[in-house]
Amino acid sequence: MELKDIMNSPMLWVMSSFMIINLFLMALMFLRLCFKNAEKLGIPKEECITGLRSAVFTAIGPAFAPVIVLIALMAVLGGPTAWMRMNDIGAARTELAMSAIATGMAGSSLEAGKLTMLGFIFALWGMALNNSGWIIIGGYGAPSLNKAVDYLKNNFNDAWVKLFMAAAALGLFSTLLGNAIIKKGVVNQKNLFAAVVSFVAMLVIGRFFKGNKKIQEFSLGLAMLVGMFVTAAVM
Amino acid sequence: MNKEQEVIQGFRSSAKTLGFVFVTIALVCNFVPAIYVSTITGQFPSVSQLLQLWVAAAAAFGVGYIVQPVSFFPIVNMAGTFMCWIAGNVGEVRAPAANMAQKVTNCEQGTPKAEIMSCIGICASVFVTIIMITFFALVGAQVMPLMPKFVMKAFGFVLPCVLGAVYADLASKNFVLGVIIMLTSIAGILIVPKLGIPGGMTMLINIIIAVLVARCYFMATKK
Repeated sequence: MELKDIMNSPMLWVMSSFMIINLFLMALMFLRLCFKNAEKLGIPKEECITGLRSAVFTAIGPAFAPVIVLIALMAVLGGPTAWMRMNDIGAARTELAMSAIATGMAGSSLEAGKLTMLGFIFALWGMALNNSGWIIIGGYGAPSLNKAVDYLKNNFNDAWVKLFMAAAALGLFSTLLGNAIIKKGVVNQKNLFAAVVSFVAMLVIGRFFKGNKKIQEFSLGLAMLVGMFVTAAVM
Repeated sequence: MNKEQEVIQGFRSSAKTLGFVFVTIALVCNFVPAIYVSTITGQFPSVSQLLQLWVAAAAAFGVGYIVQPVSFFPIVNMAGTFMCWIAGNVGEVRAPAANMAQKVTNCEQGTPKAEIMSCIGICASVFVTIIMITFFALVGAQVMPLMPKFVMKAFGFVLPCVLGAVYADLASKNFVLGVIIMLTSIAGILIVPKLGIPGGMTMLINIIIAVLVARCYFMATKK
């Protein structure tokens, strides 16, 4: 079977749906639990519904960010995988980074037309392994996190912890960005141009629309689109 | 123990049970597509390759596995934490939704009511993202083959563009550090493979260098 056929096969849609169905049921069960306990606390049902409604409206805006990346990710990894991974843990950039690392390990690349079957399989395993980290630690660790929260805050310099995290993220993404631009020691000019345009677009959006929360919610998707289309038009 | 405390303890203990069940199912579901594709193609990564993948993942994101659930815990609480680290998008979608649900119902932080409202907000956000992403995944699948060539060409640049934009976002919070680390990382990409060190190590080395740079920066700017 060809990679393209598997990537978008009906069976892979089915296989990818379990995660999302589970999450949906989970939210339903938790919602039921909340309403039941709210009643016990004497909170009127209307108030719960008000909270629910405002959360729905709040979520719609920022949910467009994964949607925009979803469309792009579909072109690279196929519909079912993009659908599942945008619905579960791992931000768009994390999934992209992880699949870039995994496909690279398989001697393949995420670039259009260069992805091999083995690369795709490695990407699937890589993303699953990576997501397990959050599911295991976030999920099973939830009850004991309360204690850990206090410990961290009391024992480390807050500013240094933040800077440490920022630096680790910068180190990671600068390497990924560098790898996307430099191929075997040679600079790929089209990719460099694309990266620079998106970089500048993101800075511009960040600076000039600072007060506009709506635009900030879309900023990553917007900057990405600007970079992609400007590069396609110019190069 | 007053009645409020009694209710919230009951809520937490039910949430713990529910959470463990769904988290376990999620953990299995998470691997289903990989196992499926490997089975039908007969191409399973070897144990050592899986280990390598896992090490790469842990090196790149391992700090986040621990630090992120910890940092968001005060906003999303225990019940929310179970859902958040399966559903993702915590900072962008879940936390704002939880916050809004609390705000419109005039909750005081740290009260049982706030805990339940934040959970309601997170449930709501999960429904929203699932419905929206599913809708666009289905529509997008129909639209993709009809896309003009120009659009498909543009999507070929998605990787450098996403990474460029993300880096701008990260660097804008500390531009000097962003520029220095970009330079050290490029140097790492060019130099590390020439030293005979496996290419997969470049990232880890670059992250360590980045943290060292940050430490120097921290010491230098600290009053």
